[in-house]
Amino acid sequence: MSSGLYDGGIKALAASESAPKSLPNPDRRVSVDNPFCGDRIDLEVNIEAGRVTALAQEVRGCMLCQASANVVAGSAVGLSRDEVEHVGSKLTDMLKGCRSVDWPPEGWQQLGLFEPVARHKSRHSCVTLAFTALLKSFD
Amino acid sequence: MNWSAENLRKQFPILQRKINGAPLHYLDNAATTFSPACVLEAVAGYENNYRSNVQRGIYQLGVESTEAYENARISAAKYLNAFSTEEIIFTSGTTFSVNLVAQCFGQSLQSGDEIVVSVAEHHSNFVPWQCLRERFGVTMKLIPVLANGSLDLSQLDQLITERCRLVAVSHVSNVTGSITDLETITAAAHRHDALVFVDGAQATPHGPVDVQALDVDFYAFSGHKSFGPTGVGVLWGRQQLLESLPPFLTGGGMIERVTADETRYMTGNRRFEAGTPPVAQAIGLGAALEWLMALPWQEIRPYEQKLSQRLVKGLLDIEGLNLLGEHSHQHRAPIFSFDIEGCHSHDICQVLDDYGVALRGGHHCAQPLMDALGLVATSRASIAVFNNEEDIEALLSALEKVLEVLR
Repeated sequence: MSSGLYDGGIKALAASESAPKSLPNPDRRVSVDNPFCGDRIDLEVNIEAGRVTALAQEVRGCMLCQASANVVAGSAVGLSRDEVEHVGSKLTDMLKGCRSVDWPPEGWQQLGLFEPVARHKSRHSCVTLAFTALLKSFD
Repeated sequence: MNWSAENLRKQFPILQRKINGAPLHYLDNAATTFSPACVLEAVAGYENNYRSNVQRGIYQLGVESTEAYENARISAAKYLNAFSTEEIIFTSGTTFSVNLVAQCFGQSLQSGDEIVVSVAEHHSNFVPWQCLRERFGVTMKLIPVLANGSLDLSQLDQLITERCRLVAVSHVSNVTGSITDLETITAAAHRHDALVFVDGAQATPHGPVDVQALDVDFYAFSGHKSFGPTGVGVLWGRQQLLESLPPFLTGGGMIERVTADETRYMTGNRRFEAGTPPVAQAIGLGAALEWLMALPWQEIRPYEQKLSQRLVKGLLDIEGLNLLGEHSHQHRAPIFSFDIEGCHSHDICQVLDDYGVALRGGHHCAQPLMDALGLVATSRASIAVFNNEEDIEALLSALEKVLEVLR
């Protein structure tokens, strides 16, 4: 059943745009697709000394993808690649049913809202796409 | 025949399933439909009684399997009204069939030659032709779509010119359900000696096809969308054309003689069936096509239209819903894609599943069409002969719940 997926928390997150759609002078532009459903995130970032200093994004996707992208965008500034990868792997572990003792990671309490998604394997990539995009921007 | 949907439904064991405690309302038949018991029995009969390779063994089982396999070819030839069984090639499905023609026919193409494809094609009838552009410098021209997703043929004479070598279009759109005006396209193509390849994957589930009357040159369809097993499909091609094509895959089963220096290939359809073919699947498909041919289509078509009319009326009553394709039922198959403002199709389909309603959400492997229409994804309901009014009402009722949850 989809109960929990569309409760107030995720709906509110999906509706709350936490980043502009573009940056004046982005260092990197990446575009990632979820080939399964066509979700797409176009990301622009500025990175200095290995850390995100600014982020903009345009998300064309389902509610889960929108919500997850807004969580990532809201916390991205100041993160290094390793930190993004660390949080992303914690999220993946949770979705696979291997929730770590420190879940959700410190400073990422909103990711707890995605716990009901774990039961819906076909939707995992909707939630992880934003992390894939941000990681790609460091390449 | 005393036909009724309720009697027909009894032939589909899978319809007994419950989903989340609700009866299954399966409306994703354009992706894969179900097999009636006779198809399941045909496959089990092969597996249990005479499983063996075809066209090789001289023992009893081999003779029986070869006979059943070739009988399936006869069924496919009848279903398409082919000129001969020699024109029927068993493949793994429509994707394989398109690739076969694209790769084999493609070898005769030169830089500057043109292929015309519609922007509404399934990726399987788009990407293989796009690859020819990259490989041989072929120009790929696109038939555009109208605002509702149906093909816009108004500029056909400018698109199909003397440089055109092949036109590839679907018989029925897997997104809009629109039936392509093949008569107009074929006439335009043949005026310039261009060939016409038709992806019939969404047409064959809705009754027999007459390739002779359509006057096309290649026609492909998949078993799993036509009540047969997965992993099998049919490519029909005019025999003279097939004889002119080089082989696609090479190996056993398609040679006349192999020496250390060279190989001489078989002629006819077997040249394109290298290796052990999908024997069980082809036998199952043969059973499915015989089953389809026995159905009273003159009664079923109005029945499908009645279900379609109810569905369209219910969908159009939903605020903010945009239904693709023509709203008239004369030029469309029962495939209905829609977009609801503010609701993504995956979220819609997720909630529908709570009520046992199975719909497809996404781009339907037709991203160029989605781009042309400015859409990311749509929800798609596709009706098969076993669907009934309860399925339609369940969908419409569940959509009300969906909007309560998502809006």
